Amino acid sequence: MSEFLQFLVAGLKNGSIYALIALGFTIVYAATGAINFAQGEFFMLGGMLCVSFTDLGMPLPVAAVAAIAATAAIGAAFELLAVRPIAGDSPLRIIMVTIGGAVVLRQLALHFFGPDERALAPFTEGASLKAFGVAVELQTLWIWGLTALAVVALALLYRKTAFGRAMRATAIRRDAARLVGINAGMMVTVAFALAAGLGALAGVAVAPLTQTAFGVGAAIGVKGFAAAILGGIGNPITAVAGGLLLGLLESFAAGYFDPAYKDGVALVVLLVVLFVAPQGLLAKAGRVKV
Amino acid sequence: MSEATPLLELASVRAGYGHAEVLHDIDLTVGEGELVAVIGANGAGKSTLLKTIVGLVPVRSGTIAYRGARVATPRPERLVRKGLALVPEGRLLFGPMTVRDNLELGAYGAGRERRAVTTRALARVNELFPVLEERADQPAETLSGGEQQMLAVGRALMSEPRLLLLDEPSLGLAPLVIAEIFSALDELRAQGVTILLVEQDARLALRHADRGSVMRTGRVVLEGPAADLLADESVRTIYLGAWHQEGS
Repeated sequence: MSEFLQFLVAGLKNGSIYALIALGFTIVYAATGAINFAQGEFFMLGGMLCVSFTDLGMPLPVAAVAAIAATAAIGAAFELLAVRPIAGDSPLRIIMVTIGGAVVLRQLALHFFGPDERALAPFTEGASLKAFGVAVELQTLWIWGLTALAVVALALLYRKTAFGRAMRATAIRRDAARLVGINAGMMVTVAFALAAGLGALAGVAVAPLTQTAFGVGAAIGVKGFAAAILGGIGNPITAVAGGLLLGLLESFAAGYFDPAYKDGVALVVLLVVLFVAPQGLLAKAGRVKV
Repeated sequence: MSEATPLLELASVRAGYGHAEVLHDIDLTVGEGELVAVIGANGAGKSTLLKTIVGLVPVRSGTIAYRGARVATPRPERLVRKGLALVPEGRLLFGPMTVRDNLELGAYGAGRERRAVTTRALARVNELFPVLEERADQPAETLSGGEQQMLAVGRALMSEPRLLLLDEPSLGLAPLVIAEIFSALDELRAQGVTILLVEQDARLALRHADRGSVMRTGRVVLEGPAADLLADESVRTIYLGAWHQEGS
């Protein structure tokens, strides 16, 4: 029983991270119809920038917020300076630009941050919590709390503000959104900034547990993409569910079978979903709901 | 109506998609307070005309002037803030969102005055189409075709337009619903809204219009007072007759 709970905790911890990355994929997909393959690099940038800012002497909370804000700004700049001029609003071209952009961001990170793995201090020092024979690291509680906070904030933005409604409207029908006075181009920029910020949040939150390096973006990008596909890309609620589910599948596969299976699970999930139910397992077919 | 500066004036406008030019040398004026109908068969370029005016299709040459000032590069999100709203072909509602959300988004361009405009315009829309108030919390995609068209008109009215462009408002609707929508247009005109209407149903459009233009393969081939066009022999045989045969 305690073994099961321990796997559950580990699964939900990684799943929360995947959920944040999947949300990033979903937000950009809803705004553009394209997959942003640079999403994993925003995760990397969040962690690396946070480490660098603390190296410069910033207190950790300030460094974390600054890293997330800086990454969001990089996301917006990436859309304005690369995606829009090169790709316009063609989803296929946007995908190509994000693949190229991912390589560029990774190489820039290597250039500025160096090749070494970097460590970040935990947000709260202290021993793990123990209950029902399970140990939960304090950083895991931070990950859960921050993920929940991000999801709630995003839901409030989309549901309760005129700006959020305008983002949803643009995702549903771009031309109609323009007809009511919404600057659809700006909504795409904001979508990239939000996605980058969420990726960075995940990168900052998990860095104390895993360490970070310039090359961590690609692998997490695949995981987040698998989670978003599992949830039926385009729907934030099922994207979060997809992330948690993927984390659990990985954790149980690694725990009950072989730790070597862990990283294969995401690829298996990706292939199975795309072959069997390309609309996603969790979302209703063909619906973009933001 | 022709002495004063027209509200909208197109001179030698050419426009199209990709390599295909759809509009050739279009001249068109809409005076303040008028209801102008553009009629013509399917594929004559009527929808492209409206899309070109708001900037969804780029102008290749010629000029578009609105309220006496040339609009160099029309953009829908800017024009709606200046009082020019389009009810698009196919309605283009925000389907999964509620009727109220759709209407409130219609006032998005009002910016800081959004709250005041929303309250004022919503009252007017609800008076014009009471059914929308009853359906306020329903997703737009669950409405009937007629209600969706009313919502599309209502959404455009939320920006309190001076000039309302409508693309085939009668398409696919039952006669009773069409009558309701056109009586709403008459009401709007009485309130001082200028209307440019594109319709395949020539008889219906001309009955409600002051003036009409007939389009064929991307050109305006005939124009004049609506009553004259209704009586014109060639219009009767080609467009009013065709309308009967197609039965649409």
